[in-house]
Amino acid sequence: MLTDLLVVIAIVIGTFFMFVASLGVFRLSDFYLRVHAPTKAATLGLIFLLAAVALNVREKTVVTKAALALVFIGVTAPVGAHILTRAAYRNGIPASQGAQIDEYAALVEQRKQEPDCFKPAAETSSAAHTDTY
Amino acid sequence: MNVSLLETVVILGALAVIGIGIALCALRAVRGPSLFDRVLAFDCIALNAVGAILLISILLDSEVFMDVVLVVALLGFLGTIALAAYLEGSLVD
Repeated sequence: MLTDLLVVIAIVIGTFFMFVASLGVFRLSDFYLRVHAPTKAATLGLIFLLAAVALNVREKTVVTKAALALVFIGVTAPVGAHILTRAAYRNGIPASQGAQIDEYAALVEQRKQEPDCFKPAAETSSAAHTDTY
Repeated sequence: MNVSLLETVVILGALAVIGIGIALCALRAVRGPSLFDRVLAFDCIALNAVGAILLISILLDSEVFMDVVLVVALLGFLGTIALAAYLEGSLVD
């Protein structure tokens, strides 16, 4: 009976955070603001939902798979968001007017002037990615 | 371990809320404005689908859906990475 209550509480909290993530994707004003909504809020929501499943069944196989899914989602969500945001920045997606600090711009400028400064000397051939999206 | 009435009602309501969330993400995917927003909305839809599958596995009191959760999470991540790499030109610096 107590576990039922815990499962219900975890479901409510997890669903709330999943909805906040989707609302952030829909509502926020800028790509760089939008990208962080599902990365953090949806991960937290999935943690609560996986905890609800593990509390509901309480068997070895299910708890192990829930822990595995938790580790996997916790590792992959920041990596995916980082790569997507980096691709967007390099393709010139603009930030909103309120954004003031841009520490990555200096690095990108340096890369434009000397494109191979971060590469080993052997592979200097594929320097220019001039594709537009 | 039968599913109680309270759990059933809460899970059905939560599935409705997650459905609304998927609809919001789909609206963002339709609206754009850039291709990166569409990739992001696809990623968010995949995460919401994982949540819905978890809720259904509680509702049906079944264990087989945990494998589906792992596969869908992996495929969503793979899709995001592949699309971002395609849009950027290359993943390697």
